[in-house]
Amino acid sequence: MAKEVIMPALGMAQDEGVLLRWLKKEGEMVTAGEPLMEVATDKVDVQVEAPASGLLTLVTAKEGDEIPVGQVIAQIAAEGEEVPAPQQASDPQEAAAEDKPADPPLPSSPVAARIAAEHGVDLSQVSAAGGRISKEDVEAHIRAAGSDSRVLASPKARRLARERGIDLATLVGHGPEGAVLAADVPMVADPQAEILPQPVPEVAATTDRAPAMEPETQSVSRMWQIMAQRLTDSWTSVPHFYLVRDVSAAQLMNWRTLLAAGAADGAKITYTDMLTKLSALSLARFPRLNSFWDDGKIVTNPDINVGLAIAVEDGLLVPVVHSADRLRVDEIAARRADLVARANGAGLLPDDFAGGTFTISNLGMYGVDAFNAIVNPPQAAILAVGRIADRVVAENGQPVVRPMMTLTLSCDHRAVDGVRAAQFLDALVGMIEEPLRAL
Amino acid sequence: MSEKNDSNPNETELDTEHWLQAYEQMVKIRTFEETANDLYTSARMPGITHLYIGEEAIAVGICEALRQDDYITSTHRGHGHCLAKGADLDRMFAELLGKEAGYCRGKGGSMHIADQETGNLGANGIVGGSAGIATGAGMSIKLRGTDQVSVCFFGDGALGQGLLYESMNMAQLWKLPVIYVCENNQYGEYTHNSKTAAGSMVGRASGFGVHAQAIDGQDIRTVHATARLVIERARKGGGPAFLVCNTYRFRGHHVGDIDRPYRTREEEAEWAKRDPLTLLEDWLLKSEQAEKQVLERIQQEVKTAVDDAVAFAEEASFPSESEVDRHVYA
Amino acid sequence: MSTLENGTRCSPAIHAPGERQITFGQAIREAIAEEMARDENVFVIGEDVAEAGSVFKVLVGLLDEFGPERVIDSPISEAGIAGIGVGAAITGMRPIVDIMFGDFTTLVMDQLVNQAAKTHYMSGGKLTVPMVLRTTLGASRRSAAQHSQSLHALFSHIPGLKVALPATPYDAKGLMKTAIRDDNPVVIFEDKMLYQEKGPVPEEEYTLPLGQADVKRTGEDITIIATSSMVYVGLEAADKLASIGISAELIDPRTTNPLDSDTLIQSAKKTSRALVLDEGYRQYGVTGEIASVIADGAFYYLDAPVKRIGAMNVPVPFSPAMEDLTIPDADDVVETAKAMCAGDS
Repeated sequence: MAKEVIMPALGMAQDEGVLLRWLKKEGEMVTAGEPLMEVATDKVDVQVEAPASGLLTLVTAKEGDEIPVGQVIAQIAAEGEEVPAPQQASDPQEAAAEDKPADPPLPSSPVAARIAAEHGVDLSQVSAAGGRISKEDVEAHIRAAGSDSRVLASPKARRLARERGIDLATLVGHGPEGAVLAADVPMVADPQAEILPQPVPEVAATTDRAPAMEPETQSVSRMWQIMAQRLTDSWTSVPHFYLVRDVSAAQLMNWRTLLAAGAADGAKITYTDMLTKLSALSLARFPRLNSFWDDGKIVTNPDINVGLAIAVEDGLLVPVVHSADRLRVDEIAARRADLVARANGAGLLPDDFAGGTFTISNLGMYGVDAFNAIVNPPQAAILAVGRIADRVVAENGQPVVRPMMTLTLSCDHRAVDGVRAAQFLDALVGMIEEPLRAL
Repeated sequence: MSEKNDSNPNETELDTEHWLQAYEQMVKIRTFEETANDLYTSARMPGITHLYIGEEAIAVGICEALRQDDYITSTHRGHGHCLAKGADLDRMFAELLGKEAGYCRGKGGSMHIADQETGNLGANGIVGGSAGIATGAGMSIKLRGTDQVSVCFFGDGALGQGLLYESMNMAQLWKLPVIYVCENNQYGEYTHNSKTAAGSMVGRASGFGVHAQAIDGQDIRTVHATARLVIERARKGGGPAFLVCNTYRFRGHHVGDIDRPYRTREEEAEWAKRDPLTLLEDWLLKSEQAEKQVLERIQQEVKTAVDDAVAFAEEASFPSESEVDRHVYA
Repeated sequence: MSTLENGTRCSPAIHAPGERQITFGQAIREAIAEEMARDENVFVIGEDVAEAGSVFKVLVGLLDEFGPERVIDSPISEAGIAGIGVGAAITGMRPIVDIMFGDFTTLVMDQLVNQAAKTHYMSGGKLTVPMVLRTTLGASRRSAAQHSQSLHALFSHIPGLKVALPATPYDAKGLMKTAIRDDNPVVIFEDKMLYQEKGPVPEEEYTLPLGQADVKRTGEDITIIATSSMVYVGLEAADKLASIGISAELIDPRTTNPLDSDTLIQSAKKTSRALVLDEGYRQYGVTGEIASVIADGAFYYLDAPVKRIGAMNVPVPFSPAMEDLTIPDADDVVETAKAMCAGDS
C-alpha cells in the first residue's frame, strides 16, 4: 500500500503549514525516517521525516504552498508497487471520498516529465501552451513558482555550514544576491558553554568591516519576521513595568562550585541553570507570576515551564525547560545544553517551544550589567539577568566588595501587580543569596 | 621541370669497396621503405609514413661524404637520411611501430626520428622547419671552432618557406658550414612545383652569394662528387652551399596516396627508367667492379637484416604509461 | 610547499632595503654578463644587440666585454635567429635569442612551439634545447598595437617551454641566470617600463628557481596574484585597500610555466578570496589558468568567485586617451577587491 504523506500538525492550534522545501524529488527513492521536506509553522521550521520507504510520487504540494494540516501532499509507493496514476484516482467513488481534483493532466514530453521530476513539479499543475506539456512549459512553471529554491552560498560558507552542522537555509546571507558568506555562518555553539552563545544579531550587524558604502538592505528569515511581529505585539499591547534588584552572587558561585564537583563528567552547570531552578521554585510560591492575561481573565498555568531566550544568527528562539520546578539543576543543565546545541543546528522541534510560562534572558556573558526585557506572551513576566561583577556595597555600615548581579523583572501589569511581583522577586533574591536553604 | 644540371664531374672518388657499401645503403633504404609500406598496408604499423623510394642516391651520396660527427637535419620523408647517416634498422622499425626500443622511445615516430650518435638532429614534421636548426648547428660549429659541417635536407616544397631564406642569408653573412640540399622531387605533397615555385631555384641561393648548383639527383656518383666538393669547402671556412638535386618521388606523398591523380603514369614510367639503384647497378656491372651475384647477395643480406629488424620491432614492447609525461622537460 | 610561513623567501626587492640598488635593465645585463663569463657556450644573438646594446640599451657594454663572435647583431629575421638558437642549443651551445618586442614573437612561433618545445620529447629525451629567448611585454609607451602587447600566455600554453616574468631587479637577475643554466627553452618577458626601475640586488652570486612564487606582501582578507609590472599595480592597490581596512596579500608567481600552484592555492585558502592581475589580454589569458588552478585547489575555502583583471580585449590603441583605458590600474584592482570583500563582516 502506498503511504500517504500529509502536512503534519506541528503545534497547538495550527491550521496550516507552509511547505518550505522538498528534500526529495518526485520519483526519488526515500527511506523511512530520512528527512523528506521542510515545513514552517509560526514557531519554527521543521524537517519532516519520510513516513515510509519507497518511491516518492503523486506530489501535489509546491514549495511555498500554505497547506491545511492533515492534507495529503504526496504518496510513497512501496517497492514494486504499481504507482496509481492521478487520473486513476478519478474513479467516481474514490474521487468523492478523497476530494481530489478530477481533471486528468495533459500528456507531457519525456523531457518535460524528467525536468518536472527533478524539480518536484506536479505535472498536473503545469499549464501547457499547446496540447502537450513541453519542456518550456515546465520551465516556465518552475520560474513562476520560484520552486528552484537553492540557497545561494559561497563554497567556503557551504563547507563551514556542513562542518558545523548548520542548515544554510536558516542563515541570512550578506553576499551578492543574498548569498551566504563564510561570515554569515555562526560558530558552532559549544554545548558546554553558557546559554546565548551568539552575539545578538544587532551587534553582529554593526561589525561589518567593509567601509561605509551604500546602506545595505537585507532580507530576513521567517524566524526573524516572527520574532519581530511577536515582540511588536507584546510591546504595543502589554503594559510593562519593571522591578530591579541587586543581589549578591557569592553563594550562587559557591553553589555552582559544589554542583560542578558533583556533576557527571563533562556536564557543565551555568548560572542560568541555577536561576532557572530558583525561579521555578519562586514561581511555585507565587503562582500569579506563572499566569497570563487572557482577554479579561487571568489564567494560572498548572505547570512551571521556564523558557530560555537564545539568540541565533537570524532570530531569537525561546525553547522551554518544562516542569523546571521538579527537575534537579543537573537535569536542567542537560536539557539546556541540548536545546542550545539544537538551536544552533536548526534542530529544535515544535514541542521544544510549547508551553512556556515564564522566561529568563541572560546577557551577563556579554558584559551587560542590567537590561529591560520585553514580556514574551502569553506569559506574565520575564527575568532579565545581568553579569556578575565585583561591586562595592555597604554591609553593616562598612563598604565591602561583593560579587553582585542585577535582576530586572518585566511584568504584564494586567496579570501581575507590583506587590506580587516584588514578593516573587524578593523570594528569588533570598534563594539566590542562600540557595542551599531553598532546596 | 628541373634546372639544367650544371655539374657532372663523373669522377669515381670512391674505390669499389666503398661503392658497394653505398649500394648496400641504397638497397637498405629501398628495402626499408618497401617493408614500411607493407607494414602499413597490412595494418601492422600505426599512422602513415612518407616513402623515400626513388631518391636514395641523394641521401647516400651526401652522407657518404660526411663524417659521423657532422650534422644533418631531415624532413618528414626522412628514413633515407636517417639510414644513410648510420641509423640501425632495428631501432628505426621499433620507432615506426611506436615501441620503447625505438630511437625516440616511441614518442617521435616516423616523422621525428633523431639520433645524436650519428649526428642526426632530427626529422621534422614542419616543411622547411629544420632550416634554422641546421643553420644554428652551423653557428655552433663556428663558435666552437670545429671543422664539422651541417647538412640541411629539405624538399622543393620548402622553397615556399621564408625561414629558409632568412637562414641562408645569415649562413652566408657569417660563412657558416651549412649545406642546403634541396631534394627536388617535383611535388610538394600533391602539387607540382611548377605551380608553386616561381623563377630559378638555384637563383634563390645565388642571390645571397651562396654557392648554388643543380645536379642530377638520380646519379649517386654525381651527387657524391658534388657533395665532397662543397662539404670540403665548408669545412675550410668557405661558407654554405645550396644543391638542387633533381629527383623523383616514385611513390605517392605518403603510403596512403596510392592513386596519385595529380600526375600521369607516363611521367612515372619515364622517371622509373632512371631509378637510382638501377643506374648504380648498371655502372658497377658495366665497369666490372661487381658481378651480378655480388649485388644479389647484398640484396639478400639486406632483406634478411630488414626482416630481422621487423621481427625485433614487432616483438618489442610498447612504452609503459609512465613514459607519457617523461621528457617534456630536461 | 608553502612560502607563506617563511618570510625569508620574500624577495629582497620588497623586504631588504638598503642593499646595492641597480636598475632592472642593469640586473638583466649583469646576469647575462656573469653567465657569459662563467660559460663560454653562452652567446647573444638578436637585432641591434651588439653595437647598439639593444634598443632599450640593456646590453650596452657586452660587445666590448665578449666580442662580436658572442654578441651577434643579426638581420631582422626573428624566425631565423630563433631557429639558429634552437640548432645551436641542440649542438651544445647556450644561446640567448633577443626578440626586441614581444609582439614580434609571433614570427618565431614555429621555432619555439614546434621545434624548441618539442625536440627533447620527440627525441625520447636524447636532445636538449638549453636556450633563452628574451623579449618584452607591456603597454603604456604610446607604441600602439604592434609594439605593446603582452603575449606570454601564448607561450605559457605550450608544454616544453618555460616562461618567466620578473617584476623586480632582484627577480630579473636571479631568474635570468637560472634560465640561462636551464636545459630547456625558457622565454623571459621583461616589461619595457621596468628597465629604469631600481631595486636592491646583492653583489654576491645568487639564482632563483623557476616555478617558485614570491610573496611580495602578506595579508589576510584577499590574495592578489600579479605578474610583471602588474605587481606594482597590485601593491599600490594593496596600500589603498589597507587604508579602508582590507588586508591584501600579493603573490607574484614569477614564472607562469612552471606555475607554483601550491603557493597560490594556500594563500587563497588563507584569505578566502583571490584576484588575478596580469597585463595580457583578459580573454584566455594566464589569469584564466591561474583562476582555474585556485578554483580547483581552494574551492571549499573560497568566499567569493575568483576574479580576473587583464588588459582590455582590444588591440592596444595609440592615443594616450585610449591606451590608458586598456591597461589595468590600481583603482580597477581596488574596486574589484572591495566588491569581493563586501558582505564580509
